Amino acid sequence: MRLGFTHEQECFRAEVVDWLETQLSGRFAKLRHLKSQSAFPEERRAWERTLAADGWSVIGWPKAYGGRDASLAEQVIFAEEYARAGAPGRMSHIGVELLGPTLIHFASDEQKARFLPGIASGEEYWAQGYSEPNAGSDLGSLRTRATLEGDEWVIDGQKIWTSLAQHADWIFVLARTEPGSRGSKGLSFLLVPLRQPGITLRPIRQMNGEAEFNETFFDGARTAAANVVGGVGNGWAVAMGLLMTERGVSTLGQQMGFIADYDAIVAVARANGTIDDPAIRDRLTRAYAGLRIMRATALRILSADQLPRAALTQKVHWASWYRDLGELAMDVAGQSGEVGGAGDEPLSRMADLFLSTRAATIYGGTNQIQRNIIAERALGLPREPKG
Amino acid sequence: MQFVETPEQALVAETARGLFADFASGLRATVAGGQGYDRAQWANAIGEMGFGGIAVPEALGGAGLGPIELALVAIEAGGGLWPSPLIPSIGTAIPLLIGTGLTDDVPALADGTKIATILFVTDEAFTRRNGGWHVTARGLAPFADSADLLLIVGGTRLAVMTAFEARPAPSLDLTRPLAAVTVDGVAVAVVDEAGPAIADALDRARVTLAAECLGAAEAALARTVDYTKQRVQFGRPIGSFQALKHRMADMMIATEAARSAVLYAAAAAAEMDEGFAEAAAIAHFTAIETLRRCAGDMIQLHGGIGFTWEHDAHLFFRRAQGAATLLGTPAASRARLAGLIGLEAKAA
Ligand SMILES: Cc1cc2nc3c(=O)[nH]c(=O)nc-3n(C[C@H](O)[C@H](O)[C@H](O)COP(=O)(O)OP(=O)(O)OC[C@H]3O[C@@H](n4cnc5c(N)ncnc54)[C@H](O)[C@@H]3O)c2cc1C
Repeated sequence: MRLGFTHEQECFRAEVVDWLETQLSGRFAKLRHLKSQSAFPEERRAWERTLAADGWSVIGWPKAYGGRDASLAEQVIFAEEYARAGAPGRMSHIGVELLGPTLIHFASDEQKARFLPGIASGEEYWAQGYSEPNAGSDLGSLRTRATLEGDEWVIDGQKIWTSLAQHADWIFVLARTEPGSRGSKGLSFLLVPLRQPGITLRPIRQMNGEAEFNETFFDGARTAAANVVGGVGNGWAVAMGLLMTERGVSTLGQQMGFIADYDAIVAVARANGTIDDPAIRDRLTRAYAGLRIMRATALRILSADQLPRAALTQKVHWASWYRDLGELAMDVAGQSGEVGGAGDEPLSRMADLFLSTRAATIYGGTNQIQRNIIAERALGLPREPKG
Repeated sequence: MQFVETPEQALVAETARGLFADFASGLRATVAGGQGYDRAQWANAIGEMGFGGIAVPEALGGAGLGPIELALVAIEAGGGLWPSPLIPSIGTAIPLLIGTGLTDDVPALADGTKIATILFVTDEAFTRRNGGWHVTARGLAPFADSADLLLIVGGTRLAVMTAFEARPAPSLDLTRPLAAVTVDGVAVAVVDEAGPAIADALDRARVTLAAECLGAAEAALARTVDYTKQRVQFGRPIGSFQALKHRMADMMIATEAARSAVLYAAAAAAEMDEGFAEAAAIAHFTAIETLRRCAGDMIQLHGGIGFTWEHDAHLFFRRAQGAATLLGTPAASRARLAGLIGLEAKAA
């Protein structure tokens, strides 16, 4: 067990800090400390391409696919400095953090060669097509179907809550490819071009006012027969592999990002004096401890050869922590936090945290579903009845 | 950076697990016996197995390993609620004596032939007399009635006493009983102005205590899971009811968080990381709170049997409370953490 960084790793840190500072005080200054996930899409694309051009987009990936084979320590350093510098949320998140690792694990060499470079280079953006109007927590009841016609899959059905599809070029779709199959059987994991006549997007406005997610309608949409990952009928295993990444492994960068939220709340607490309230101070202290513990858990998960039990508990832990942070934000901000912030911000950052953090305990599998998974897989308790 | 046990560390944990599992059948007899601990078990674990000296340098008769290995042993001891002076003597006195350079008694503590405990006092307890330090104090200290040495900690000063009175007190925590101590005499050794060394040693002690609490919390969860798989009501195992499954999932979320906090703090101690004091405070309050919660849930999820003297659940619950006052409270650790991270109140 070793926590510290070597001299070489500290040199790596200096390089990262230097690069980020140059970019974010120059050309990309307007993206610095940006809270919105959907503002400035063009600049964000340029940011992704710039990260890629200098080799910073997917440092943990193998060199062959555009990465650096970065060690755990280097990934931690990069994530920490990225957050500390106030660099923007990654528009490429779904491709870089969810699909990429899944392809590296499950895809054929041809598929890797076709799709990984586009993700790494910031040229191709992805959306996640799992949830349907009648298949949320019970994902296995999904009905979107795909039929092989000649050398193409033809897809019909509907997905919903599809985040960032408005900025995406491709979507990975979990679809029923075996007619009459039920549950987790007979599903396939398909890679589908999003910009085509057979697909219609309709934005859905969220409770925080933004419209980051969408309804996605498939009406005879097409993709090449070869674009099925992990084999026809094996989609569930691939989809679950991706969810494990989403819930446990991919979250280091995201959790580093939480530090910026915490810092922003502390800054408000200092400015308005609520830091002198012992109850607020204690909640801030607990929030800080939570940050450190989540970081340590992420290190445990990333260090292990075999996923430790903590990989199953991390999602509820961070999601609940984040939701609590949203409430703390408004308790610190008080009534003045309920109206618009500086400049043209429609709401203060505190109010936005208060609203936005409610999503964390829902997406990627709700807290209740995560608890079922922990109880059944980690503790071996009896399984839920299935309908 | 590599945050996973080495094979050697995993072996330490496994060895300790086996030993404390063997000891477990004696738990109730030891508690009932009034001695507080089992001398044969103590000699075996601390002396023969060498767990007492695991974090002690070889020059002082130890194994020369470190805080991580000690934490791994403490986790396993906690899992069996091992009733013993492990935390005061091995976990606290040894780092205090090493940290302040009073190492004469360390070999005897490390091999278990002597036992030490600690008493926290205020400045007034100390008076200068004839060139020495006279200590006058009363208080509670775990296992003081079995101790050869009493370490008196008062702010920036550490005193070692060999003459003191100790009367066992009926204690809430049956697996780490307190004794009423009266001291009125000259210290055999004193280190003055040792604030930072004492603070660091106490942080190390808190991490070992936290590790022990973690082990107990994990054991409380494991036993609760076992019970709810077997107990049938409404025609099915109660562990199939989602309300109970989710409660146990929450227990595990808490124990995994505590495990991260404890291992991180132990690794920070091993590396003398500059963030160690922070990490120790976090581990301390997190692990104690986790044990209290898991012990409470253990009682609830066992129903009536969980409220009996027969059942061990109350031993866990009692241990949680004893741990919460042993080396400072969880709230005190949060207050310390607030200071370390710059959240202290503005001077009015
Ligand atoms: C901001 C956001 C972004 C999202 N982005 C995407 C995306 O990009 N792609 C995508 O595919 N999906 C996305 N989702 C969808 C998300 O995965 C689902 O909302 C989630 O899985 C829950 O499904 P549901 O909405 O149908 O709720 P339901 O499944 O209907 O659940 C409703 C309530 O019932 C509870 N519940 C359901 N079943 C059980 C059970 N067995 N035991 C106990 N409680 C239960 C749930 O916990 C929840 O509280 C996103 C969601 C949000 C909020």
